[in-house]
Amino acid sequence: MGRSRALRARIMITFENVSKIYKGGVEALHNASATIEKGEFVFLVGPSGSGKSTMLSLINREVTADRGRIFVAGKDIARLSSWRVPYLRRNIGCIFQDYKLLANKTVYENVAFALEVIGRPRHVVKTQVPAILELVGLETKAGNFPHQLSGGEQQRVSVARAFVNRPLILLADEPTGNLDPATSVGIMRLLDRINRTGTTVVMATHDRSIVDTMQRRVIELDEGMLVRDQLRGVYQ
Amino acid sequence: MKFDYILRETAINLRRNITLTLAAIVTVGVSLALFGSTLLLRQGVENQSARWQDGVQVLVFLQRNVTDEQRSALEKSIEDNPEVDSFKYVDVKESNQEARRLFRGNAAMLQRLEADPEMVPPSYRLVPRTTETGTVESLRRQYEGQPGVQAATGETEGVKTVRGVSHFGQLGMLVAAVILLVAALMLILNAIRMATFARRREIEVMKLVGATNWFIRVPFMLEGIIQGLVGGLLAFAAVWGLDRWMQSAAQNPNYDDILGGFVASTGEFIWTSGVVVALGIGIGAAGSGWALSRFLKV
Repeated sequence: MGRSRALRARIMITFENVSKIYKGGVEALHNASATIEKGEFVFLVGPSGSGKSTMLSLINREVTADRGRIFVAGKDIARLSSWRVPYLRRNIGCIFQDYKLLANKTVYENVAFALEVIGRPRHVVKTQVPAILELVGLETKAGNFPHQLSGGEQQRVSVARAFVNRPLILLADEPTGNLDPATSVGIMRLLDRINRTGTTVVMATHDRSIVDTMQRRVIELDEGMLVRDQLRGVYQ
Repeated sequence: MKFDYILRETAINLRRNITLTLAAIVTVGVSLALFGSTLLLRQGVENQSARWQDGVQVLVFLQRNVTDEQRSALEKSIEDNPEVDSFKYVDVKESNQEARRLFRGNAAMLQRLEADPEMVPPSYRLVPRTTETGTVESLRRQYEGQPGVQAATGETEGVKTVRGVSHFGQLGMLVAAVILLVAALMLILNAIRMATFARRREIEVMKLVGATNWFIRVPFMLEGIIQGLVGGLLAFAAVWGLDRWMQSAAQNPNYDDILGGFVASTGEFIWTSGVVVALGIGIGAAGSGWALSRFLKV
């Protein structure tokens, strides 16, 4: 009502009084509200089980909210019919602590897979995959299998796969959780670079030093409650 | 691109579960072969019993060149025979029509009936007073070898047994076929379940990057359908062999088989094999669809 059209057009993700209760009665998220604008870089912090991963899963509709509403790119995602959910997910890239790479596919094939399974034509795959591998600095490892790569390199492949389709949003769930500090810095530089292309990045993390160094917006969760939302925040 | 992808993934799935795939195919094949054979045999048996209706127990076939005197003498002796309750004369034209009806769909046989309308001889069909085998046999022997008679056949214990057993046998085969079909369904279900489990990481990534549900499902559906189809084709081969064997009776240049009873199939082979292959595909689709709805939440 009070929001101007221009402001609404800048908003990428909206949580309106969202609650999520898992089977067994555990309330993973309680009455959370937040607005994330296009091109923002947001850290979700908080102890394990505080609801960070649940927030990420709600955004790409791996789980659905029990109360409240979630808008992604202007759409109320609870009202999407199930056959449209894949199209929502094409706008959202995801990376994880455990990379989720396919062990029997090469670096190139892992990235190409993401384009092939959404029906992108061959010539698109042939141009996009080398370009994205260059962006993440793995152009020389295209023929390697994941087990031949270091953890940092594997995470770069995962970033390449998440970003190759140029999504509007990149969700990162503890992407540096298995990496040493120096390697983590490299991954963060990559995410920062992706963010500068206009992609909204939402990253759940426990990594204090990363949050403190990056000086970006911080949303803190505790036992499912949103307890802090601070621009240019620190881990605390 | 999509087409390539789907074929490649389906081939990988089939190879990965090769033992389970073969088990499913063989089970589908055996069950449908039983089912198809039952259908064909039932047609054969129906033909065989077509003439033994309304209590007819003895058939007296006349020679082609039977004279009117011979025929009226024969008819008189049948009329006067105390062991005969009633009788019916079936002339050449009627015999030909009957044969055409029984052999509809058997092109070779129809051609021969066309070329030689008098191929099936006229006959007297006798209903004896009692159904004792002794009476039937004595009646048969009375007319066998009479002037103008080509052959006399009776519905002997043998024929009755064949009919009884074949009804019982058909029932048994149908029950076995249904049980095996259910087993085949379970095997396909399990094969698809194993395939989805083996590929759970790929499925997870596919969902993550926004592959549509159908895109994820189609290779698995196709895997089940191919198993059903190949099983159906095996059954088709078995039914084809049985049909050849049954039709060989009709190809026989002497008419004994025609006179003794129509054991040969009516050649409704195309229909039967169509049913068998379609059932194979249906089982494959049902098994994989069921598996996906249970084990592939998308």
